Amino acid sequence: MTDQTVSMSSRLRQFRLSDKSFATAVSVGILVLMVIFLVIPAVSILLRSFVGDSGWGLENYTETLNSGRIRELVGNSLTVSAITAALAVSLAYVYAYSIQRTNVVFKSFLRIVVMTPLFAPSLVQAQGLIFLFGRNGAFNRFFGFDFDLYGFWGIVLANTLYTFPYAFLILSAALAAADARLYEGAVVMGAKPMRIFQAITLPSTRYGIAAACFVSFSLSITDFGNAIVIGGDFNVLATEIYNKVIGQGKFGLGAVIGVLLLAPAVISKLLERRIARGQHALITDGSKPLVIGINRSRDLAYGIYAYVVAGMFLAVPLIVLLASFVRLWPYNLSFTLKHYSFDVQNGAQPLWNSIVVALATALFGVVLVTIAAIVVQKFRTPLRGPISFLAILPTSIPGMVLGLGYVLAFNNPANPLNMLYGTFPLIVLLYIYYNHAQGFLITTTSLKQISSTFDEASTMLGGSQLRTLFKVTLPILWPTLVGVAVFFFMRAMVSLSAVIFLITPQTQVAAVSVLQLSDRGANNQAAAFSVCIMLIVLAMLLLARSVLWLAGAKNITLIR
Amino acid sequence: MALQIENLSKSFGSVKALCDLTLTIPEASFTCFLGPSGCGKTTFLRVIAGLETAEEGTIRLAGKDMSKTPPSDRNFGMVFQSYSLFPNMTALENVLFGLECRHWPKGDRKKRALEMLDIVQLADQAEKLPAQMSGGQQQRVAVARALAPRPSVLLLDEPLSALDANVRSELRTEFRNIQKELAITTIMVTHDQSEALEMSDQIVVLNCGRIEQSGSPVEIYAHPRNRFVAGFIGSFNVLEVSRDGSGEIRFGSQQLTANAQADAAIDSGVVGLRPEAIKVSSEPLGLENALFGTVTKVRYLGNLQILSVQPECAPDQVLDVELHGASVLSRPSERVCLNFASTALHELSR
Ligand SMILES: Nc1ncnc2c1ncn2[C@@H]1O[C@H](COP(=O)(O)OP(=O)(O)OP(=O)(O)O)[C@@H](O)[C@H]1O
Ligand SMILES: [Mg+2]
Repeated sequence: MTDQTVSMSSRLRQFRLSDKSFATAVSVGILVLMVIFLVIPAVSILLRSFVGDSGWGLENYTETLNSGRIRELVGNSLTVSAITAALAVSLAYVYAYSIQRTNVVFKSFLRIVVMTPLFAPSLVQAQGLIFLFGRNGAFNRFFGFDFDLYGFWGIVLANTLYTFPYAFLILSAALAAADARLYEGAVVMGAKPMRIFQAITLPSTRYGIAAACFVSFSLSITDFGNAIVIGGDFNVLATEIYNKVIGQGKFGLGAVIGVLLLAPAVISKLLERRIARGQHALITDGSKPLVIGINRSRDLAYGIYAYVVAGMFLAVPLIVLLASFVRLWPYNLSFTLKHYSFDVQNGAQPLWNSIVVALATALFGVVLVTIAAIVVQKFRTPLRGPISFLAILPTSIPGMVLGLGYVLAFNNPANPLNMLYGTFPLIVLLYIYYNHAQGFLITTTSLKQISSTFDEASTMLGGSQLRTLFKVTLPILWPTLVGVAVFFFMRAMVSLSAVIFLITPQTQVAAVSVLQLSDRGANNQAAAFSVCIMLIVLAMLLLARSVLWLAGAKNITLIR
Repeated sequence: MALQIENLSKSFGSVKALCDLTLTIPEASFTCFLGPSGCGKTTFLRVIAGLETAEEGTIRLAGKDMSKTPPSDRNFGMVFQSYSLFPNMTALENVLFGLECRHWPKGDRKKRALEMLDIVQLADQAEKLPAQMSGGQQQRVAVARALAPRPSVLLLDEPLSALDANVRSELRTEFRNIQKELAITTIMVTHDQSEALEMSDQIVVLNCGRIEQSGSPVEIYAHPRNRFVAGFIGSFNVLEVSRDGSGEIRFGSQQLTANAQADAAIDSGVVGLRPEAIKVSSEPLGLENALFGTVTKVRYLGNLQILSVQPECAPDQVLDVELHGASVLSRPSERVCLNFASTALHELSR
């Protein structure tokens, strides 16, 4: 070897070493962040639940569990969530069936309409339903009825709308994966449609149905926005934490209920995982896609159903839009823009705050999630295991519980990061770690699809891990990252339950403003705020879609 | 530069992928690793590349031990089976990548890259993205990319197997010419025996993680060491034979004449006979051996017919015979005479 190549290879070796220490440093850094912003808050809530007025012990638990009230609340929460799950999943199943297995028209319209609940804070469902069917709603007023939606059925309806899109996405995927060979076989044997449905369709989508039920159930039991707005005197666990902590300042009792709330969420998440694994095995290699036959009357029936459901989903944002433009819904319907002047509270400041927070969440969320995914997928460090475990842990922590954990962990002078408390950076971090699991999973899935041959080709050419990352991996991955950024942005714009304990008058965000305005009876202004949130989310979606379209990346999912 | 591999072993968990391999790869030679699927060819190549680490053994490049050198510092070029061009870079940028990584002087990089694209006849496609090129073109760029930083060894893992037949045969010649021109030590993995025979200086036949035989194509073809190699390279008729009381070789009821060397070695009870060494006639042609038999099957392949013949002396066996350029189609149940010289019989170990 010549002198030149010898010195070159020794230089390379040095770089390689720094390459390795870089990988270690990054892995340690990402793990430390996860511990601080995920593990410590979760542990804080657990510890705090054991600290009562007279020191350590089970005092909070005995006090909470012995009261008749808690039994009632648990009962309420379970009933509401079970009925919500049953309703949302059956409605979504038939809806997904209409789209996947019949020839209804304008399928992409039908698909997008039921996604609208994702563009707004969950309580917008409650808001819209009140405008429609509340005591002073359009229905009672214009048709002379006198029924009251507040309470049990209000929460069930609002949560059904709110969890429908999640159930629909799961069921739609389950119904899309059909093996035509089974159906052809059944038809040849002369089976009737109902029999075919029972014998083939239902069994092959049972995993999807179960998964959708669990998702709908856990979303519903942990949701706070709808319950507080439309629940009236009907209390559930999520509103009780809020009352205990915000109303009475009893953190220990709040923590106990938080722990209670964690249980069903964790259980349904674990079951969902197991079920998802079963689902994969159903689609075998030789599967043949299903061709939908022609059947006018079937299409008509399903079409009517689908458009009625779609109508309900459109009605909610439309009525909110309408209410934001009239003087006083439903008494004075004259047009006005005054609700958009935001002359109460902090004015439009919460909206700007939300935009900044959401942008920061999108930016830093993508960076953190991508690093975590790369560490797990590409770095051979022993920290991969713990990192990948913690990366998907947040799916099982309800937003309210994590938020309360943040308060307990950071509103504590003993914590060196105490100065973060009451600042926007902490809210951004909460949003990032609350939504970490989905962002991480999306990125990991994409990263797995990038062949490891590229890494090996680069290595053989003398490329370092870093060079491969910046020159090859990230340039291929970026459209997915845009999708992840949009996901983080949307979640930060609309999440209410996670930040409810963390905001201060100086760090107000839009979703909380909607809640406070509607709490004070300023429903039309609350509507105007909701409309602004939805428009910002829509604008972001359109922007991202156009950027991706211009770059030729057309098959990136933005709405999840 | 020459590569010496000694006592190399590698396992994946309980699967022993490579067992105690020892091999020399001469400088500037073209060596093929040949063997059935799963025999460890790719693993062997990846261990040489450094992408997998062997539990035991050494790899020496021009006498220097490389076993501990990380793959990125070995300066070996590698071409993968599936197209491994970076999809976000043009052909030119792909070739430039290795030159940047190897810290070539800025001024020389582009010239070198274009020169390499010229060698693979793609100078006019330099600005195309991989997705805009055919499979064959992509593999050429991959070769240009691997060769640009002047690697000491070029490693190819089934570089042609994803291409269709025409392109494949074109590239065989082209790759071989480039290899000769640059005089670069090259190892190629393949499971295609005709590819190995056509391109290599040395063929290494692998089976179940072991080297069955290594040698020049002529050696391997003409003198397969055992049944496996014989069966894997070309087709071979394997005749079950025995020795009678007077020491003669008997094939069923008939006596065969082998040359002295083969005769001395036949103890395993099998001899090999290449189909093309058999001449078919209706009457014996006067060669040392002649057997009568009945045609049981005819496969027509255009320029070639392959007859399966059941010899009368050993009706439980079947011999394949190749007829080149015969215009008259043979028919099943025809009676034929099979003639072959004593030198056509090879001893095989079982
Ligand atoms: N990463 C791995 N983990 C576990 N086993 C492996 C791995 N890679 C290869 N093997 C096993 O090692 C053996 C040799 O595999 P290898 O890929 O080297 O075969 P090959 O000769 O290249 O086959 P092919 O012609 O199909 O490419 C096989 O039994 C294979 O299953
Ligand atoms: Mg292989």
